[in-house]
Amino acid sequence: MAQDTGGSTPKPKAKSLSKIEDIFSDHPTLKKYLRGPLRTWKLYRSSMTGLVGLGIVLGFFVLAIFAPIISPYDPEFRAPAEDVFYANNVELVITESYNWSAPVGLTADTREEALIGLMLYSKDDGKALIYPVGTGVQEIEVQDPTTYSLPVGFDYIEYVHFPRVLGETSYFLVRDGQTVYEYSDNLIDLNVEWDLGFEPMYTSNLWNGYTLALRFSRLALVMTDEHNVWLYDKVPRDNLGFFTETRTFTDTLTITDETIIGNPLVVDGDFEDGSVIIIPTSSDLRAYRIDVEKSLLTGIVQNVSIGAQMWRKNYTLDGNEFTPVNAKQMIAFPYAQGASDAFGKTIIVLATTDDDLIAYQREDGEIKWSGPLIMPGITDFEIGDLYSSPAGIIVTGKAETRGFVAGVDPETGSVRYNRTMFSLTEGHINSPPQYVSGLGTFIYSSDRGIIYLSDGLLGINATFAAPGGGALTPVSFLGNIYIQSSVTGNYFAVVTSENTLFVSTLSGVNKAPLPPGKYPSGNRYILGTDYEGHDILAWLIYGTRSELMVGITAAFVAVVIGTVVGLVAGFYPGIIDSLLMRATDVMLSLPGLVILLLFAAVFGPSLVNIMIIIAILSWAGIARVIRSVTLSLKERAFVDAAIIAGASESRLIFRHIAPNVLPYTFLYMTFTISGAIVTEAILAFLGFGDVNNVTWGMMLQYLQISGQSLIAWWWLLPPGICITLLSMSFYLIGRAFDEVVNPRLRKR
Amino acid sequence: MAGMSRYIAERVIQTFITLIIILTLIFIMFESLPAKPQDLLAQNPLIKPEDREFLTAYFGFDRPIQERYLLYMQHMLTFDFGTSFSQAEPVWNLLEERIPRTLLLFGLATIISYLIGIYVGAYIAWKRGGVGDGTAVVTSLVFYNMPSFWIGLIFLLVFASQLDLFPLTGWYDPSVDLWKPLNILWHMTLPLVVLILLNLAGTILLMRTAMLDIIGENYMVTAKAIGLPERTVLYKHGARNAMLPVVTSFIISIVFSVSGAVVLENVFTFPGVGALYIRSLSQLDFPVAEATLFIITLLVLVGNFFADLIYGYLDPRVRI
Amino acid sequence: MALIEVQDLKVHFKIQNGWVKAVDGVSFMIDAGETMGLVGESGCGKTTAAYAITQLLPPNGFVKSGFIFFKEPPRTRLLRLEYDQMFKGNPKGREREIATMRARLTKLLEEKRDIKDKTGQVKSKGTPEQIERLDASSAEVTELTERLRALTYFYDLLAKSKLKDGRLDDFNEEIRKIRWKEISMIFQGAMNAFNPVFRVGDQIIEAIQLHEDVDDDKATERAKALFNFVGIPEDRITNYPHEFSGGMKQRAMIALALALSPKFIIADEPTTALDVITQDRILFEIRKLQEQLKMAMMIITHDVSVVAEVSDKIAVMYAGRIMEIGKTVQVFKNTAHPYTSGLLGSFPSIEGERRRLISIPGFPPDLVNPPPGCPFHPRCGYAKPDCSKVVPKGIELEPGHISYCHYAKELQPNLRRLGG
Repeated sequence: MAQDTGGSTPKPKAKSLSKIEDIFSDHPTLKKYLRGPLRTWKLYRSSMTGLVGLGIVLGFFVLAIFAPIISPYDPEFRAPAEDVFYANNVELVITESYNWSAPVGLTADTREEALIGLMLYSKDDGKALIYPVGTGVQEIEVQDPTTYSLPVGFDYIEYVHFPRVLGETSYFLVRDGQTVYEYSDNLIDLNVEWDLGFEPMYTSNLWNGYTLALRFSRLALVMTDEHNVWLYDKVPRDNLGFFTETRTFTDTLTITDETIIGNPLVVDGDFEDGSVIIIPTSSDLRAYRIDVEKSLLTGIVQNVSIGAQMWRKNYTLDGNEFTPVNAKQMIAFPYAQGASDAFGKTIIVLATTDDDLIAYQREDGEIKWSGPLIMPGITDFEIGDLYSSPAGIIVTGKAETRGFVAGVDPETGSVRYNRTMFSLTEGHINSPPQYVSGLGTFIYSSDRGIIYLSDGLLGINATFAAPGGGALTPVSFLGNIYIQSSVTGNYFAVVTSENTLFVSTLSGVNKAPLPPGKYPSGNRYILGTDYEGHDILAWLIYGTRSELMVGITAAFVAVVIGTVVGLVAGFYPGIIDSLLMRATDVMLSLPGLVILLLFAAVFGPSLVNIMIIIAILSWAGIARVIRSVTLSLKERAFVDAAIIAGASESRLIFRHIAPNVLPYTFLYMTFTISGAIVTEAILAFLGFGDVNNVTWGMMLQYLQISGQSLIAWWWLLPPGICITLLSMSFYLIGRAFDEVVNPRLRKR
Repeated sequence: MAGMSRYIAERVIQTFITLIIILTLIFIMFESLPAKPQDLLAQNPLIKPEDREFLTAYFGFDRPIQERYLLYMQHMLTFDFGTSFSQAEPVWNLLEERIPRTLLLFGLATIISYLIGIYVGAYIAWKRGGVGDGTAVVTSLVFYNMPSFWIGLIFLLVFASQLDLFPLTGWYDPSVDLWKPLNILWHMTLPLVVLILLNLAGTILLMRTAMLDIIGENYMVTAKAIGLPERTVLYKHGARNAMLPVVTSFIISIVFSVSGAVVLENVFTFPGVGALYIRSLSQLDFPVAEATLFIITLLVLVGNFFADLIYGYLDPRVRI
Repeated sequence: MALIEVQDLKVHFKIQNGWVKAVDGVSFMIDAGETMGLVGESGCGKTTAAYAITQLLPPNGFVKSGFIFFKEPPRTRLLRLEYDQMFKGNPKGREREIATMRARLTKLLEEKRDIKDKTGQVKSKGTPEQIERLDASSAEVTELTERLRALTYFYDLLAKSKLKDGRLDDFNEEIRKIRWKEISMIFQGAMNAFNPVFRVGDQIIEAIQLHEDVDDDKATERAKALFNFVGIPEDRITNYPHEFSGGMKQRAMIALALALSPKFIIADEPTTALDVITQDRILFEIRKLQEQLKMAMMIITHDVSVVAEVSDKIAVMYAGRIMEIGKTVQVFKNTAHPYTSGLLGSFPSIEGERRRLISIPGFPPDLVNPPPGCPFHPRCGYAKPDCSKVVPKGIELEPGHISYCHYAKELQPNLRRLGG
């Protein structure tokens, strides 16, 4: 050190200094400030591993900064369906551009719900297209459509299928304002059209009864406006002519005291006694019995009417009033009609504006259970719609910018299973999750044009984007298709996007994760894709951003806390010191990661929370080191000199001790970054990561959940290698820098 | 030895105080949860009303916080953990058979990795600069920075799935005709090896540094000058001293190692305390989470206590 | 008779920017029972020279050249010098000679084996001629062995353990047997010379049992006796090093050094870092060793006064070279090197009259790039132009008193010296 003071004569030594120094040698001030870093760099340079570490870290920084340029795809990118599915897709361009409604599937009765055709309807000019659908050996065939003209501007369309002894009858029920049209399935026969005499505002679920023994079908529907309730009852025509076709408004009811605020709900509607209509009004929930009159002789339903009010419940929960959100958020569970064993167990579930779920007993309207929807890790959400499915109560809604689907246990109201009982989608869900019985799968779509397939546990099994991009009409589940009699459980999803009709047989088998290679769409996935068709390389590159952010921020916070605590403890011996050191002892003996998991589970897994928690749990080690450095600095002569010169305490700490502590601070920061990166990965892997950001740990968690970890090596290896590399590089930098800071190590 | 017993007594008291502080911290954490256990309890239909009353009384949900705290302390320190919310079963029943498994896995891994790590670390420091040293250091650095679960997954992929040498999951398979201890060992091999590798990396690096620190010490020169053979100088005189800082930093490695064990139990679906902890967290099963966290903390503290004892045995200077 | 003879020893350390020439051509000789003081400033290479003898060099230390002959019989020495002269500049010839001798020796030994069985008995009834031949060949074997030893530097400690690149095999079996049994050391900073985690007594016992087949009780007895000898209560052998005071540790160190009654003890700064009274005690112990045990010693120190008290002979080192060597009296009274003069001038004399202390101007040279010629010339007040060009050869001023200064003879009368 003494040699540095040696005058202005250039020493032979100066030759060996790096070129940078030569450049700045003309600028004395600059040189003065650069001398420290340059000396450090000279010492640092001698460590090979340190240079390697620095190089790798810089490489990752470049990746993070230029991710959008370097990455082949966006993180939101998903491999198109043609790459991902064993799907027989039919894409047809519809020549006329209209405002097509969601497609409707026409099913035949030869097998349960087998698909025979598709119908598209344009509200603009009343044009309807029916595509006959046939099945080949391995694929579907969609034939050229027949065009029909229907009245313009229907706003309600429903397809009803009546199985009969001989042949079957299908109808479209179409409503336009006060007029209801009924079409048979070929759309040619306008069976009837009649004037309701009122304009319905709310419509109940379709009440579709079918008794195998008696082989009759019956259909009923409840429609209301703000005060009036109408019951529509229909006996369809039968081919043998035993029954003549009838339709009646069997009964009406007027509610004068309150306004009806949502769709009525028909419960247990198999045309047996005990069926109920639930009507939500502005102040309470009312249940009316439906009286069914049967012929004593044949057991055939003669008449259906609205009976007496069974119960009425105010919107109160634990004495507090609540607001039901809207009628769609009311369902009955189980939804099966006529399941007499479910009779009496049926519950009516309602969602409130406070995101509580309330289950009423069908019988007496007592609250069976109630409470908030709890999905571990998701705090800020809003319930959208409720659906009843054999797998449970399905709740959809919005979680910030995403949608969620959750399965709720009808017994307890809690999200039933482990964390896989709900999943998050990109964008909001815009179609009802439809249960496909053959596969035990749900199909639904989001407003970003992605179609999701979820298994019974609601883990996302597969996703695919609609062809042609752009907005989708909601996805429709049309029916099952049977390719040769042995193959069961195929089904169709049909969407229109702009002018494309997209028909797909989704066998439910997803080809993704795709191994690296080039695929039919022409895309090349250098590192393959994950189960949802995300490009692994793109995620790796974008993941760098979160990793660096988490690592550096967490380490920075930890280092700041640690340095301050260490400085204070070192500077004020006695009670303060021993108190702080006891605290660090306790912190050090806490099983950090284990506690971290608890925190993450409790406070929600956002990146910011994770960074803070990692910081809180890792400052203790740093504080110890900084304290001992401070103690040894205090013994050094220059501190004594400063004290004698009358420096104040704060000046002493900040001017004299802190600058000498800084190298250590930086040193431990590199080590902490290294640790934080791995810790974040572990958290994400265990399912406590932030789902809104791409991280490497999360890639591995998805891998584990998808059950592909024993197969998809191209998905398993890269994230782990990146985590190891990045963490190790920071560690190597630390080690090399350690030799600069601690000359004791240099001798080796 | 009077010095030693006083030393032990001091350590016991210190460990106990730390335990109390940590328990208090855990209590505060659980108390500050946004989702209250009592609410979850109320929602759970699996729990019969009489059980619910019992649990309310047990946890003192209806009492002020200070009484709850005392109740909690009393329960934890008497290992009386109450009933699980999600399984309607006493927590102790869940823990009873899991604790020995975790202890076995974690204990074996710790002991083996320390033995090997100290030996290898000392050796490579002694032969510093050689090819063996370089290889060992780089390998250790890589493993030290690897996420534990990832090595676990790779091991599963390679040894369980591809080579089919070891089972994929579990702890014991009665359908396999194998002597029970061997059967268990066979199931434990993969998690054990991964855990050992993880711990080993840290221990080797630490031991190497510690050994390099003492290699230049005068007593090492003395040992050599006396004419002792290399092995004696290296292991009796060198490693014995270099172990001291390694044992001191045991507390950090044990925390590291426990974390590794918790994660690996999850990866290998090893039915231990760690796997139970993660499950209880995702189910928000508070009694189980509290109890497992307590057991894990206890494990760390007891491990650390033993490390202190070993230190006292190794270094005569602290037993005054 | 020379107990140890160091010839042209060069020990260099490899560092990042080159080689530190810590010992660069050092020669000296110590007789049995004689004490030599090796004096010089810190960093002049004296400790390195000593560590080269016991072969305790750090891993970056390379022995570039030189010999260390230990316990070499006088006749072997003479033969060796003869052969060195004979084969000067002809290493191949030397190798050939060695090969012929080896071949001859092998043949003789085979013959001998044919006649005698393993127990050394003549196999069959040997004829008188056979027996006569056997006797003759035995004499030849002895002679050949002795000559081979001289030729191959058998007594050179370095020859036994030196690896190809000049590094030493740290744990060479033969060297290990010599260590402590024959050559022991008293270390600089005895504070840390004992392993802190073992009892001091046990460490002494360990040394004894390593080299001699002694049971535990016997070894303990000996350790106690050693403690007594150096004036430490014998019950302290069960104590740990940290329970000893600094002076006690140093005395325990001496006890350890004496444990196997070695022929030669190297004391590396035995009194540094001790207070004056303790220093005095330690010097007293050392004198006791010389008088009672008649051990040869080499005392390394920067403190001239220590040397003055206890050594028969002095070697003054500077920048890896010996500057002046001779009997203590010769060096002190007839100082013949400007550096020695400066060194003596910078120390107060314990017993002598009061003098003004003078320090040598400037700093010791950087041993990576030592100055050409005489290393002392940049600081030497008498330096002449050729001092910076030619490395001085030794000039023997009187028997055993050698000065490595070009102008030793001219300067000797003018140099300041003790009592001068």
